[in-house]
Amino acid sequence: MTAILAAVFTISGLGLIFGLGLAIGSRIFAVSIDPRLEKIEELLPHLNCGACGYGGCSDCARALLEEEAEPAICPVASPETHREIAELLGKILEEEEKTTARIFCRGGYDAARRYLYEGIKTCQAANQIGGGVSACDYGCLRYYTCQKVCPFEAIGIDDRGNPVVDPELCRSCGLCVRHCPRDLIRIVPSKSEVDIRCSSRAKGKTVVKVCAVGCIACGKCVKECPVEAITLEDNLARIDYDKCVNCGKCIEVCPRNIISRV
Amino acid sequence: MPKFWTFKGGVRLPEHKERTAGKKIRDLPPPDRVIIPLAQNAGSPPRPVVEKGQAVEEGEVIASPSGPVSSTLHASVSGKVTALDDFPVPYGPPAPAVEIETDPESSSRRRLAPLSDPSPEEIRSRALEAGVVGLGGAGFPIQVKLAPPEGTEIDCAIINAAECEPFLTVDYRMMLESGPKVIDGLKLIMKAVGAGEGIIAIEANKMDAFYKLQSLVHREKNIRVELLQVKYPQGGEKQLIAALLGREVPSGGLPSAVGCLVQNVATAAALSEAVREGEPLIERVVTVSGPALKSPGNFRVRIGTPFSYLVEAAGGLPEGELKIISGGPMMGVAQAGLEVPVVKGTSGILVVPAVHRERNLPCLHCGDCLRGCPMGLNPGDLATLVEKERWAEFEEHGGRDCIECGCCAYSCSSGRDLVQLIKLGKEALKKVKS
Repeated sequence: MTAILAAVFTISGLGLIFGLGLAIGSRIFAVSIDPRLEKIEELLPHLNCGACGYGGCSDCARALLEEEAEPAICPVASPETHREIAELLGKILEEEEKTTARIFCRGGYDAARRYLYEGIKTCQAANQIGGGVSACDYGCLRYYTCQKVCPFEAIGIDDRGNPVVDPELCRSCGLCVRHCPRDLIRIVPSKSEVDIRCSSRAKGKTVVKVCAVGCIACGKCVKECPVEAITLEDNLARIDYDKCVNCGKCIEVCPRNIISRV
Repeated sequence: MPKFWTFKGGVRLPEHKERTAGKKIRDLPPPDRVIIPLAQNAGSPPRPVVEKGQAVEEGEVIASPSGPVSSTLHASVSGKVTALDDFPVPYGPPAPAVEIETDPESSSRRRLAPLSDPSPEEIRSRALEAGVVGLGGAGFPIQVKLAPPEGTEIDCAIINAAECEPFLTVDYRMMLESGPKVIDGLKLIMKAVGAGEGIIAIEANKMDAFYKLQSLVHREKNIRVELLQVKYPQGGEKQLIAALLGREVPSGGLPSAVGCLVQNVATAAALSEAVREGEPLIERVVTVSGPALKSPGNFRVRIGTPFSYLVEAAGGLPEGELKIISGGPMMGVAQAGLEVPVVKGTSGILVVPAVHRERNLPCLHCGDCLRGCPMGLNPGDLATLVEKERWAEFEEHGGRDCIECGCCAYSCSSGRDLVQLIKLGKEALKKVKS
């Protein structure tokens, strides 16, 4: 009996001593955490996509708190969240414009291929051999790396084999922009509805040979545009979003059907 | 009995050299037009000094060096410059090049003054003037190699005559037909860097070249010819040094760090020609081979000759679905068409029937790639890291040390594109770092 009691007292006595030690230790060595850190982390999207340039959302929250980063650094979070973060940090945020990613190629199945490619099925790999598998030096390679990397499943494939961004789902994190080896994806203001979806800077004659829809720089859209929003540069027509009024007149005159409303 | 030197790892490959090994080098007349890409050397591409419409003479400088690691380019034919534009090249996306239309009437050739007893400095400047770069593939400007960084001493110059890539017989034919030039080139290299020892390393499947060269150097005290085991990649710079001297080139370092300098056979011959005869580097020997070709062979052509011209000389393009490779089957690059030109680093053109097989199956963790890797890396692991875009770990695991020899992909039973993945990883790493 005494043996059992001795064991019980020893163990509970030891437990008591260690417990006290831990309790005192936790007071002495306590790390003071800014309560805002937890709140900021709560506000961030918890996707750890890395689009901000930091190693995940907690690291981004730390950077925000230490004022390393601007309140609107997270491209994924909504403008409301940005405002809430700015409030928490005691900053004033300027009104921001909603943006979306857009893919500037509509070649798809209408663009010729240079050769049969059987290597690794990513755009980066398909771009390495002989100047890329697509006959157009600027066009989409159609291995859809952009779709695979999109954390929001915002990129789909249309019936002509073109990757298309859904502006509703897109949070303009820029992952697809970074992964496209041909720089076909750009972040544009969401309010722009009409766009010229070609990136070919090749001469018209070359474009006609390799693609059924590419821009040949004929200049019809430039003449048609009532607000002079379209310019020709390097054999390619471009729209200035600040000037464009989304009237859609250019869509009708384009002989290559490369201008479309999103 | 000579000793057969070798290194750790590697694979044994079918050689396929018999198709062209017995054929003498054939000189081909200049084609109707040549396309000379500016970027034919490692480092910065030279700057063009000609204009569109300008008449140029064979051997005239058309682009001059643009930096410390650069080279010179010469017109490989006499004629008129018809374009300065982007053209398809065998090593990547379309790149700036000079197009020259050949004038069939003209037969003059510009040469530099021959040097009979050049000083080390003269050898280096001549290499730059004559545009001599490594002809093995990478195109490293030889004058840079001949000027080792301060504080390093080079005691051993090695001529890499392993030619371990299947199909290729350029170096083998060069040794048989211009052996004295190769040895003269080696002597010039030794003089330029002050090396006391010269080794010519030949794989044991080229015994006649071995005996031929040995008969040429048996009076030379400081030059010897060594035999190597027939194993791929025996001709890799680091593998060669490990096999011959047992020295290990440190990760990220150059052979000069262990007192060595390695040059390819054709490069040594080109250096000899540049110094002794004043010939700028405007032509090279190319092996055109492959099971489907009617008359494969070795051809001496002008730099900038389109592949189509060479394939025509080898009996024309056969029927069926084909794969065209610039270089050897292991390290060569598949081509999108025959309009690309021969550059200084083009050692071969292969025309092989296309093979379709199931590829990129899941890894079995069998370890064959590990056993094959001559650099002691874990290729399967590295490839997986690339697929997952974990660049920091990729670098930590030695991804940069990969020499892209292709042993891992060759031995992979799942048919994974291991080298291609690691190549992608190396490129991505460069981008992440910058």
